[in-house]
Amino acid sequence: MLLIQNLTVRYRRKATATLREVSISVGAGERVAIIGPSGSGKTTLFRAISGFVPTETGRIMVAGADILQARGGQLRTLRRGIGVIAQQHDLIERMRVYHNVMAGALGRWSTTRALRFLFWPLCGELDEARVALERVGIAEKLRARTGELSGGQQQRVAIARALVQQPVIMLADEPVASLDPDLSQHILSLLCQLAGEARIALLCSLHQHDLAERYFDRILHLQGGVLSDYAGPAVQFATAS
Amino acid sequence: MLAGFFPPDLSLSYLAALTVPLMQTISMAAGGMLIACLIGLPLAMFVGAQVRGARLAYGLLSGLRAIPDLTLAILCVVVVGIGPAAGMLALAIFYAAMIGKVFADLFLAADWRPIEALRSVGATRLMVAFYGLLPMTLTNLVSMGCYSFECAVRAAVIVGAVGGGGLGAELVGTINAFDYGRATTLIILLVIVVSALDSLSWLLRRHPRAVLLLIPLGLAALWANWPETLALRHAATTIGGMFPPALPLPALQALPRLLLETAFIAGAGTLLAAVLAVPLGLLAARNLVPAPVAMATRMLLEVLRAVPEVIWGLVLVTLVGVGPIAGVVALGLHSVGVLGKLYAEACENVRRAPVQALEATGARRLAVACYAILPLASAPVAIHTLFRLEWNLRAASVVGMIGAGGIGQALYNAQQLFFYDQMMAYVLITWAIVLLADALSDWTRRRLGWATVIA
Repeated sequence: MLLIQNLTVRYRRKATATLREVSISVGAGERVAIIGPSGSGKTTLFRAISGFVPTETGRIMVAGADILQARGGQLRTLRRGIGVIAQQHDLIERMRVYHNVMAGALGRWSTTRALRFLFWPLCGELDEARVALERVGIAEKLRARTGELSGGQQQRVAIARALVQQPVIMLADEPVASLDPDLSQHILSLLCQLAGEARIALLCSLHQHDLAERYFDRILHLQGGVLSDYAGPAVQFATAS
Repeated sequence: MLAGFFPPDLSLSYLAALTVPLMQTISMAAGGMLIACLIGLPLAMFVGAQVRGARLAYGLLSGLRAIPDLTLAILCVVVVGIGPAAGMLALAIFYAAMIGKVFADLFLAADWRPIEALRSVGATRLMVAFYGLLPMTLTNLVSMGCYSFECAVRAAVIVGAVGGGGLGAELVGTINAFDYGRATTLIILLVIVVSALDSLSWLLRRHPRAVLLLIPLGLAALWANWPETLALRHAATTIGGMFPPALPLPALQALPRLLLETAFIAGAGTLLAAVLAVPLGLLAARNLVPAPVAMATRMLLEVLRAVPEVIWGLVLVTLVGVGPIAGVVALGLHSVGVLGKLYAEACENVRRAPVQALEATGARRLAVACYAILPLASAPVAIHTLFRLEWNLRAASVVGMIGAGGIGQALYNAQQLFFYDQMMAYVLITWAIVLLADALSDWTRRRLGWATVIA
């Protein structure tokens, strides 16, 4: 479903590449975790997959099409298939929860429908938002202002938005970095369960080895922009120090 | 001389007679702002969406904004004749550019993460604007919009003075008739109107949807002030007479002195204002001083700010005589009001967390101010001051027109003598100066890493 080949990203004015010759393949329904310290290039990798980062070399195939070659409407169609859950701060805090959740549908909505929904949401649309929120366990927050929710609740709103999007690939960039252990486990098991049910290719970056080992099919290790196979926490710790 | 301004003429008959000019001034501002928003907001969204052509549009907005409103008003009087229509048109053009540029800056400074999240869903640029840019910046848009409206009312008084009617025409009339008591009445009235607008802006920031209620007001104003005649042929010949712009040799030789004088008025006025505004701003910050002190300081700043430079200039020219000193003090008085208020808001708007962290250590109030509030507020304070300097360069050329020296005086003399080619030359020179100041302040901001433009 997602195939990355020899991806190299170098930011301007930087001597060393942020990502070096990275290759990954994630199949439908497969759950892959990426572990790596801060600054190892995880966020850059995720932004590159969505086509937001200028790349030096490589190919990123999303459902058979290269997103790096896509422009305009074609790029938007490809992005529609990729659900993104970032480390918070990517919701519009002023808007109500249902606006943020249904923003996931913007890729398939017409402009007039998008504008109408802002001022005049229909029952069916609100129900769709409610169903998504039920799956993440906060259906009662449907009409709340997003900024008034706690960090964990906002994270779940972001997941609900990704659900509404009905993607074929899900990218989760440290989705539990700022959550407590119980909630972290809950959110990760939820993500993995959803990915399994809808046969979504899930790529998720994490800090915690134990969580990665418990919930994911495969674990990769990213350090200094180089991706390698994961060799267990003890070995990783030894190389890091 | 000063005694002549007191007591103000508060007789009922005079106050009743002021209703019509007051309504004229407010409707000029309301109609002008409605057009300005209809043009400026889409343009700002176009720039904010960063699509092809956005840079060009931004450049055009900056260029248009650099033409002083009084100059625009003179040009508009030529096109649609003397009356509120000319004033409204001038305000519409000037504030369309102002709103376009300021809103575009707000959009460009918005947090990119939610924007990118929307784009990664596959939303179009228009959807990103409505689901991301607008709601994210709404509070700032409303407060900047209200601030612009307030400026527009003051500008409506100024453009009134050169043929737009309303309170401005009334003020020039009373001063020319040595009727200073009535001039004071007009200034008091202006202060009241501006502070009423301030309360309105406070309300709108809490209920942004109420902005929609202003649309009928704007439409009514548009209808009331619609130009009766469009003297296009007359306008074409007059504007034709402005080209090619030319200056005779003596005027060219006097030019460096005029430019220096204008720069001096702007620089000295801003410096005077900045020096006075630091203590006044701190005394007006509600999180630094007891509420009564802040309230009293705010009232003083409000009065200074409500009266535009040109009006202070008119008063000061009668007090200290024609010359650059009147200009410096006029700019200084108005700018103290503006900067003091903005400095106070910068202190109040600092992020709470670092301040509370310091307070939690048991630090004294002064220490908290020095170690948390002032460092956090220094960037907006510097931005506001730079923006003010830029504004004052434009204002310095404008106050010249009422006798405060510099290039404005030369411009006004040329217009009065119908030397339109010379007038246009001065307009272009003024424009170039303001553009240069704009570029300089932009460059400084970028170099120092102050990307945010929050006023």
